[in-house]
Amino acid sequence: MTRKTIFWLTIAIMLLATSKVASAPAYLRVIPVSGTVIDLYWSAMEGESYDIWATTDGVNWSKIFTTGQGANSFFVTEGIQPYRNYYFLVAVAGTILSNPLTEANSVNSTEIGVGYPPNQHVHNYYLADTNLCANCHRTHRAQGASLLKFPTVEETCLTCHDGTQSKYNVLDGQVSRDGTWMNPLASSAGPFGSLMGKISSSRPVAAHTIGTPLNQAPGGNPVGVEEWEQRLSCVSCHTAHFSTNFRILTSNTPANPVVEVRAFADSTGDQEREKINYIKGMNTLCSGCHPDYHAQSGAGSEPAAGTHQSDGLFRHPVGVRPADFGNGLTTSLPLEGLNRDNRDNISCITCHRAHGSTSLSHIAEQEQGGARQTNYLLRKDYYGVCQDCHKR
Amino acid sequence: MTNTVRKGGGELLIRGKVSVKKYVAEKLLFILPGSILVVVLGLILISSAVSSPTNEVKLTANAGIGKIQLSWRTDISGVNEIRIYRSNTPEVTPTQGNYLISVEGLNGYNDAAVLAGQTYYYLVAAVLIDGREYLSNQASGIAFPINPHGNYTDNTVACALCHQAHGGLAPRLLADVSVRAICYLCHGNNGVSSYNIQGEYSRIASGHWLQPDRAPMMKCTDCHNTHDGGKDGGGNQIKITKLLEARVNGQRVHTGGGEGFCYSCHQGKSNFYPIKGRGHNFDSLAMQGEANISCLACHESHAANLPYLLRTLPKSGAMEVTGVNASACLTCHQVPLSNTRDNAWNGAAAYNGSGGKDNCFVCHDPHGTAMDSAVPPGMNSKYLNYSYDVAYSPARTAVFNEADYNTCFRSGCHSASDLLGTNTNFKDAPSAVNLHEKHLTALVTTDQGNAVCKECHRPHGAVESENPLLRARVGFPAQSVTGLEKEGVTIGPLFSSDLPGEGSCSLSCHGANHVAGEPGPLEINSVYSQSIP
Repeated sequence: MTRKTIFWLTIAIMLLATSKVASAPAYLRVIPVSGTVIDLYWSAMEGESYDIWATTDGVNWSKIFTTGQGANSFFVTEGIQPYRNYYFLVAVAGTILSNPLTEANSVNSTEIGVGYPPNQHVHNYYLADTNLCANCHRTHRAQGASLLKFPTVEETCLTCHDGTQSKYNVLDGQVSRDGTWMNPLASSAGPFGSLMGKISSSRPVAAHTIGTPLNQAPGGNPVGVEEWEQRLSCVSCHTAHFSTNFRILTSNTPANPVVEVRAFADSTGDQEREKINYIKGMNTLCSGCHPDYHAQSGAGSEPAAGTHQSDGLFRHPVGVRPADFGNGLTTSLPLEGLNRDNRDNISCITCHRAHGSTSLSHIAEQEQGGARQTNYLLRKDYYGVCQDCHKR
Repeated sequence: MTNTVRKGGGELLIRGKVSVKKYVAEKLLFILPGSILVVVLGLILISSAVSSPTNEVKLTANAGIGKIQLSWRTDISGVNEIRIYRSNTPEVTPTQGNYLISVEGLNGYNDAAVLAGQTYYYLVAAVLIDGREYLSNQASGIAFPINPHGNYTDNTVACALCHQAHGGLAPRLLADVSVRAICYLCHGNNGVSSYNIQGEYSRIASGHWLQPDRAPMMKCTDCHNTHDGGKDGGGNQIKITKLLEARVNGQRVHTGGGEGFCYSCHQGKSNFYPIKGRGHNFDSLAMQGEANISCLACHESHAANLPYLLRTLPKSGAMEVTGVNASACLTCHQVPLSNTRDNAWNGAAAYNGSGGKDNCFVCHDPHGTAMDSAVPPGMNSKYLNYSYDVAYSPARTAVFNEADYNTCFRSGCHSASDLLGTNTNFKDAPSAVNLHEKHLTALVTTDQGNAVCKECHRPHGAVESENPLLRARVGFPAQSVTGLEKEGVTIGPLFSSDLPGEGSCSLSCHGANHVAGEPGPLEINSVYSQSIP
């Protein structure tokens, strides 16, 4: 299969997957062409004009241009700085008045696309003559399934995400601030530490354990189901190719077949840690493997109930607002929603990191042959995440 | 259509087709400067040097209350001793400066020389007989605070003492099946706290019950805020005395000590309770002064071996209360209060209308009564349940009204009809005048003023100095009655009674001198007998 064939197949699949009405733009591709220029392409309809919306943080959106009829591309040449995330959305002109997050839908706009100039997105927006396929695949000399260059998915991912090529160094839990590793941002997901024979200077107390069968994930997990017997790998949570989810997060998990994650990584400031504005979907993603822990409002006062929560335990709820607890709690931890304050919702990611955590811990967890220290991937030392909200 | 739009300085450039860009892989590469590479490699080498060379000794550190619990595991044979190293900073090294202690034959050690909230980093070395050493991994630990209630640091570990975020066994994500079970972890018979509340609940007569088989069942958190008062805007701890916080139906109604804490539920007891500083509301009565609750002078706070949560050993065990009876009161009222003329109860039976006896509550309610509300500030309340006129005065002009003496005239006790008219046994021996009636109703016409009960009786019992045979609770506590002096000699005793139903007084009362036998010109006969027809 040639690269061109792969590309067009991808296009065809995406077009079929996005069942739009005739007037909706579709398949937005965000192509940085330099550190200051980003080209946008989408599928347009004859006679339709489009509004181009842009944001760097998901909170403040600007309508930067309205095209003429039938336009299917736009080259953004102003206001772009290298090594920042830019998010775009193309909508039928006049259908979105102020906030694409609340007004965009499948009949008036594309999905949100992201660009990180000057780098092209390796996992998305392939052009017809792309040479990106070869980064991960070998047509005739592959060592792994799916024609991967390396024997495993993890080894393939780490060819870039080990701090050498991608801006995401998952071993150290860092995000490049400016295209170098001189002064990286700490990533929200945290570090995996040394992995697959690659050495990291970061030593997380606990991290998602690559290779563990999914049915060993805490919080539920049926046995004897094929998809639960797969082993945890990068692609358990991320998809290597096209995904409209934030951070190309997967849209299909064992417990939740439809996952839609919306978030925005804001790297425009001089903060020490990458700031992510979570909008929705993280609980659905995490509960794809940890379904028991997806406890709803009131679960702290009533036994958790539901398909995966029949053990009668009480669990801290997610999807609830700190503003609604007691006299109203506040937190510096990330919440999920549009308000950007304590009216947004607690999610799994409020307390936990996705990859690994170096937070100090007192917890010794029994495992086969002894005990091991763990911190449950908590964002803060010990139970700092509890105090951050409850302030007891 | 393949029109494209380029936005630049407001100018729109129309192009005929998409210009496919070439994206070279070099744009995706972040070039790692050589100097940084050297540093990273250096760090890797350093970290390798301080980590376990064999990973054959696995160390874990657990938080304990006031200590950090270390445990290690190794399959190495021939271990002679375990050397423990500790540091306040990460990357502890097995140096003399970090050496803590060596142990032999153990697979764990409790490090109690720690500050709660401080993180410590540990390393152990398994030292073989031949001197070879095997280092463990590094483990860090933090000690639970000795007092886990409130004032938590931002990196507190105390939450886990009571809560589990995803595996709670009871509401509020409690790590055990009930609030009581959680509290007993420390406040139980085997708990580390000096407050063994579970032990108090071995008393079974009365209690603020926590047990599900006793009603009404309460929770510790109905009365205590286990997290203390939190912090103010400046981050300073808000300390609540004894963590006292009363909740009714889940709503906070009182925070802190004082009788108001008890009134949160026992609202009726506040109606007539004395104001602060008076009577039973003296601060010194509070057995647990920190809480400043005078109720605790008489009552236990959790459970008791006596009804009504009465203390068995109040006053620090100086007295033993044997029941809901006079002994409860006599703990304090063993002697007359210095500012009253009442004597302490002498032990003589006091019957109530139901046949009960020896019970001060026949006449008194120690929580105060409506009668007390009429007592002027500064005067002593008597905590009487019913009216009891003691306004004795030689110039008393009040007409007798039996309603003024309901403390005496109650069903099962005395009645006005027993005293007045022909029913009385208290009659002047020569004239058969009803002396009760005369003293209570007729003296006002002689400018001597009507008497009140208390001028001739001591309700707590007669005293021997006035009434050697202690008959009929006769006594003279009122200032209006004194002993009779005749020719400079006190004639005594004030009341003599050789036989029941007979007797005589030797008194100076309301300007009238009572003398038995042969009264003089200014004296009146005081001999009485119930045998007069």
